[in-house]
Amino acid sequence: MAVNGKSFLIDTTKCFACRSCQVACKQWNELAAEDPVPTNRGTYENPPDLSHTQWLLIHFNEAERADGTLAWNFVRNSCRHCIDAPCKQAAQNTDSITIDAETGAVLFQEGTRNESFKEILRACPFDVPRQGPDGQMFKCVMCVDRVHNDLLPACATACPSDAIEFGDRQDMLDAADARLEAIRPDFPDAAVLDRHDVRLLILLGDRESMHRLRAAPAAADAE
Amino acid sequence: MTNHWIDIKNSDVILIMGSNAAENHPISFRWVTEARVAGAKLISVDPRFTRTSSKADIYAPLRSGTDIAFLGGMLKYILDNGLIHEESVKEYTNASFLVDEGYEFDTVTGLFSGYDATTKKYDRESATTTWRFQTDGDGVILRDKTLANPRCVYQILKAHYSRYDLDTVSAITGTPKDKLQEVYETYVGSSYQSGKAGTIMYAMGWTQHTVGAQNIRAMAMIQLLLGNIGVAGGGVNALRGESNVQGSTDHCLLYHILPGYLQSPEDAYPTLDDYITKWTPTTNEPRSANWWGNYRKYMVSYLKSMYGAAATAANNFAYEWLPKRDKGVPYAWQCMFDAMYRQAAGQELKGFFAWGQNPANSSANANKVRQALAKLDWMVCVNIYPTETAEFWRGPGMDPANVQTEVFQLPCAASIEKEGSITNSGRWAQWRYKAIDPPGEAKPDAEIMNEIFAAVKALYEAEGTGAVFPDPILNVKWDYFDDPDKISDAIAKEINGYFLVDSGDYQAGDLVPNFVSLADDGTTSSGNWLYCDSYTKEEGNLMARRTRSDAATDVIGLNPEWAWCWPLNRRIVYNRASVDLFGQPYDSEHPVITWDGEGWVGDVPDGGWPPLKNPDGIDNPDSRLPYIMEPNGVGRVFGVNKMADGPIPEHYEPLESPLASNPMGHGQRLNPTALLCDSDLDLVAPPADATYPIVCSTYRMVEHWQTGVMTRWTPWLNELQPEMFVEMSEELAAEKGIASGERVRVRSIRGEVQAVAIVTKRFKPFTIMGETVHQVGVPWCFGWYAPNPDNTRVTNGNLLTPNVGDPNTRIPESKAFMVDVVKEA
Repeated sequence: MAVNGKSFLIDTTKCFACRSCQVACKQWNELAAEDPVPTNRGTYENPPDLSHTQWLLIHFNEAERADGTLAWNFVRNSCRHCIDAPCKQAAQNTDSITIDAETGAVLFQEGTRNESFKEILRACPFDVPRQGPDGQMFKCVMCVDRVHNDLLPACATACPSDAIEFGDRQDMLDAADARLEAIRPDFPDAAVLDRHDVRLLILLGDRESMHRLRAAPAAADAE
Repeated sequence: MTNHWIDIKNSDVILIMGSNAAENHPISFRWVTEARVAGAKLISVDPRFTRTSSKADIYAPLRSGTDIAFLGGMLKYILDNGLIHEESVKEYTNASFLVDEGYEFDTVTGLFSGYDATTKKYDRESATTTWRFQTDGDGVILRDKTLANPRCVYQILKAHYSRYDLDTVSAITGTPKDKLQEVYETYVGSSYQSGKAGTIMYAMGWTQHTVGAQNIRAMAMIQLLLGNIGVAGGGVNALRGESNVQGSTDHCLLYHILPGYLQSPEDAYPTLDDYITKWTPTTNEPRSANWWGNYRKYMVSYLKSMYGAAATAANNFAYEWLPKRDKGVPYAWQCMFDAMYRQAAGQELKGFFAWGQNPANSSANANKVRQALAKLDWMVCVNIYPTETAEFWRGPGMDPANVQTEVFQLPCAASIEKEGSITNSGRWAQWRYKAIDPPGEAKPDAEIMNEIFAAVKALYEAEGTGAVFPDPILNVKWDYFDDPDKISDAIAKEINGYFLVDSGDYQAGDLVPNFVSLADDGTTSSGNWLYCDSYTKEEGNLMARRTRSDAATDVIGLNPEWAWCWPLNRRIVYNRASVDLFGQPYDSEHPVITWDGEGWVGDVPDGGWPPLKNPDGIDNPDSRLPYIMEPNGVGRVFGVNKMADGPIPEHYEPLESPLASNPMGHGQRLNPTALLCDSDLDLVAPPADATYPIVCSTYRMVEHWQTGVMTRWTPWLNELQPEMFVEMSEELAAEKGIASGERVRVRSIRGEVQAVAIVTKRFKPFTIMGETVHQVGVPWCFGWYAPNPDNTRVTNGNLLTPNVGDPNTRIPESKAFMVDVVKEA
């Protein structure tokens, strides 16, 4: 059965890490900047991790290809909006994590403050959920308020190079397939990650191991 | 830009060199990406692998300051293999012109003919200069369209660049030979044929060198030879450093020009006739439009705009009232601060307006600038935030007790708090509206100027007959502020210009439709002739237009009804070079203009004259050559006498470099005409100095704007790039025992900065003349004041850079100098 709803297509071969998406996310969702201001840790990547006010983070990774050329790969870390969301399954109450009927967005509600953060975080294959000071959990909300009003998510609106597309799921899958075919001569290892399982479709040019896909595992800290 | 942002999508090959477009002009990558998706190749040439490089098909590293060597190699590749756009080169450039028999480049001394070692200048204006062409008895230039004559430009280029072989270029630049070959083959091979186009996107990475202007000349020559000028997806495209730098330059931000690139008056030309005679070019070339022949019309119309009814034929339209600068004295940015620093306090330069600027951080050798500010009686800083300039007196190393400069801070409106035009790199003047009121007492810049001018004028009036030379002030036409709701419109209309008497279908007081209407007898006004046609009686404010083209009919994306662009809404300049002698486009898939038998269709052509040849193949005497602003009507492959440092580019080392001599094997290490300053703060590391062995460059980044005055106060941006860093290779870090994220100091002979080390694969050591040379890079957007004032923090990249510059532009050499890096104790 075809899955309806919406999806993102993150085309990393078009992303040059201007991070307009990171800023637009905070602007639209009125999320505070990190306080205190983070330091430079020897990388452009900042803030250092996802947080209850940092729902989207671009990871930077330098890697050499087999032919000796250098790759500097940028990839988005944020909620993948799983089709069959393990975080929802791990929740004790059905209304603390909901699925938006129109888009399929996975949404953390206020009730997450009554859930076990440890369990929710353990359930997430992507180390995404983060907890605020009062225990409520936060992550990307697919800007459903915008989408319900026929607007694109803030990140997709801000992207200057169409590296973030958003639309009906089948259209995004078709666009991903077309793009994969087009770049295959230059990127023989190109792939879309977890295409059957998630609504955040990440298209990579280089092999997955040449990207820094996961954030530093916060799961260990939560133990 | 000769072309414009959207036009980048039409390119078959894009060279980004001397720029990091992805980071500093991110919106350009919308169009770069569109070109790539359509199959274009992207080449990134940069000392450092950048976010631009991350998207490139080919990345080639080069040592900072060696672009001419790199491009000289490309010129050799083009000329050796004859990979030129033949018709364009023969018909539309000066490649066939015969150069004066006395002209030469001496490969032993490294000098062009005509050098005077005493003045450190070339003879390029006298009657005996050799930087000129041979002419016949009628003064018409001699040419050989077979390009075989050894004195023709083409053969002179071939001889000059024969020295730039791959081994030599690679030894100078540090670029591996296979990468040089790959770049040359890809760029030239993808763009020299009809129907193919290559574009260059450059910025301060090319300009900020002692050979900055010649870097760009080298590429302009390449583009002319490849037939890449005037065509869609081609051109020479300067990515301007701020969103309205193009507009501010058009309207004469720089000292040497008036609006519309008219020369600013000098004392050597005391009368209007002297001035017009000096600057109006003449030509003996048949079919050259020589558009600058209209100089007098534009200057007189400008004077009428300045002084209104007080400018009359009897008083030479008040030309005498314009300030005159001393001929030969450079009043450029660096020279101004040099003079400010050298003076006894308050003597020559008493006051200074830092208007929307932060020179204490943005200027080369920033320590010297900060000391120079202390020599002023007063300084006015107009900005939306306090800056390191406004607060200089209590900055690092300053003792407030010793600074007598009185500083005034005037708050101004931000871009969204005022109305007006902004002209982008592609020459598009776009109208913006006010969204909200400015906070507090902040005012739009124009209103601040209006208040200051009113006060100055009142002072002159109060002095009455005792006032010294009051005419230039009391007679200025200044009627833009009468209706507070229409200030911006009143100024925009003045810039466009008016008929001052009835003329044909127009009446006195009507806006002129374009600059063809301007007259030299005082019957028209125009604040800037280039902007005539931007605000007309017929169509109102054309800059405010917002109609997008239909992509099906506007294939190359000219979007002629979106905003307005100078000149005359011509979106791609020199577009008559995009068609053959019969007016048919070289690229039929991406035509810019086409002659349909009766007229031109497509973009606004560079003049409406018919094609150079009639359909029967006979030359049409009513036609004009495509480069209408050039006296000879053709593109200058050979620069003749326009450049201070030579008709064609030669590689010279930066002022500070790791090499003790010129690796081209001649005796001239440094550009012999480079601008040098010699105050006690103008310290320069000797060539190949062991104390400062590492090449350094400065740069900007996408997260911060210029010196960071706006962005460091913006927490969402500041957290992305929160502090000063220095990028270095893993190899250099290993030599120095530095780990990524560690705190280090970067030192030049002029100063030092604190920084976090970013150890990266994106810098690699170079092999230069057989030796390993390291390069590092630092941004210049950080400073001590914002967001948390701390005058123990020294973090601005310009504390390291030298006061030395290009002899044509006087821009500082901020992109190549020598440093050392040490771990923080």
